[in-house]
Amino acid sequence: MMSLFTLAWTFAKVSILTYGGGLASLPFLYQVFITENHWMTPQVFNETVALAQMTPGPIILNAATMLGYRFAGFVGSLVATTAVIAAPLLVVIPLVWIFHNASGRAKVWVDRIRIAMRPVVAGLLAVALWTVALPVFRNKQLWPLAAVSAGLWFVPFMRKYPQLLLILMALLGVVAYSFGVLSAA
Amino acid sequence: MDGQFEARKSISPFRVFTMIFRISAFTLGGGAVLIGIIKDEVLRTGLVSEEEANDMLSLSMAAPGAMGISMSYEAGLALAGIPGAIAGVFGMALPPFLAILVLSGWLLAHMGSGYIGAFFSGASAGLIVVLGAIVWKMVKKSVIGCFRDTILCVDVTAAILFCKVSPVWALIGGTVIGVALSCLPTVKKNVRDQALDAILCVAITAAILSFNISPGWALLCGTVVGMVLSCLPEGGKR
Repeated sequence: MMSLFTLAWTFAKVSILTYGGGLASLPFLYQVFITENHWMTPQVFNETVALAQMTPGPIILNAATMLGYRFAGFVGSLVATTAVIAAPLLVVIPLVWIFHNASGRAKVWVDRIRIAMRPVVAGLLAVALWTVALPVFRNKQLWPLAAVSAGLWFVPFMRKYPQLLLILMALLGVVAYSFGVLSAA
Repeated sequence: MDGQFEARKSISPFRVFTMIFRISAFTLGGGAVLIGIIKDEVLRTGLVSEEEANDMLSLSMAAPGAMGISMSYEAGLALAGIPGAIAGVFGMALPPFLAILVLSGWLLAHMGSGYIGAFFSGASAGLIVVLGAIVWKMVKKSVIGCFRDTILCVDVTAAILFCKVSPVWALIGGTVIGVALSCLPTVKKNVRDQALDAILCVAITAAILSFNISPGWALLCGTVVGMVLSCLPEGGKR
């Protein structure tokens, strides 16, 4: 269907050009896979995305594993995943090196950038929170669940392992659904 | 901040691997919460200062591609040198890879089921609390108490949410403004001034959100006001 090299190249490109994480990369993926190359139907794409959101880890990594598998089997998913991992690392490795090894005048500038970046990053995180929070605020059925999780946050153990809180809330969602107090999203 | 990883205490790469693997496998909800949780766990080892951990977070958000991968690389590097960095990246990449290969058939077959939808709705209710705590920690540490930083933070958020500025430009623009501001002479502030700053910040956010002031103008004005204020001598206290 397509060579492993094309596969690796495409995913490396998608990985390096997507920014801001997760869902932000999807329109771009859509453009590459469907609009430009006709590699899959929109329905298959939606399925892939839904699945990627349900499994742990970064969405783009999930999508790469899955699409790679569809295109070229296990080897394909291995190649696509490696490409997705390698691309950002090629950027981060030199950045980290510069941050750690700058000296003299360069160090002054690195420190300035480091400190200037903090409020900006806080802003980006706030945007991420907003994106997550909006669907919950719009769905009144989820408000009690949000209140419960806010309460659980006072349990020290939950603070230590926030993953536990997430999974507990997910299970609570299932329980609420089976009692009919939560309709499916 | 020093490059001498050998000189510092470290933990074994295997422990880095298990730590990141556990986080990657059990954290629902995407990049931002993932890197926040890694930051907390890294801090808990006691080997990395909070300052350094915040820098890791900034860098992983600044780098393109999956934030979790960048964060694992940096965390592994700080905790156990280069073997740790490799262990970290594998620990992050392996769970989603395995999950897709093993679970995709089953999940695809049950996709329409309301239970799965409810599972993720429930998780999203928990996610706002967990992510909220992460954001709050970052904001408290690096924004509150400094008017310029507050303005910058609000500006960046507003620019992305309301002006639809792409995050990459918001990051570059925000950082450039921040660096430019940091070259200006700084003014020591007392508690009263900081309180005033906080009120002003809230007022500006409220102005953007409720009075429909064009965020572009709010961005520009906020930055200019912040610059002017930070240059003024405050009540003779320089």
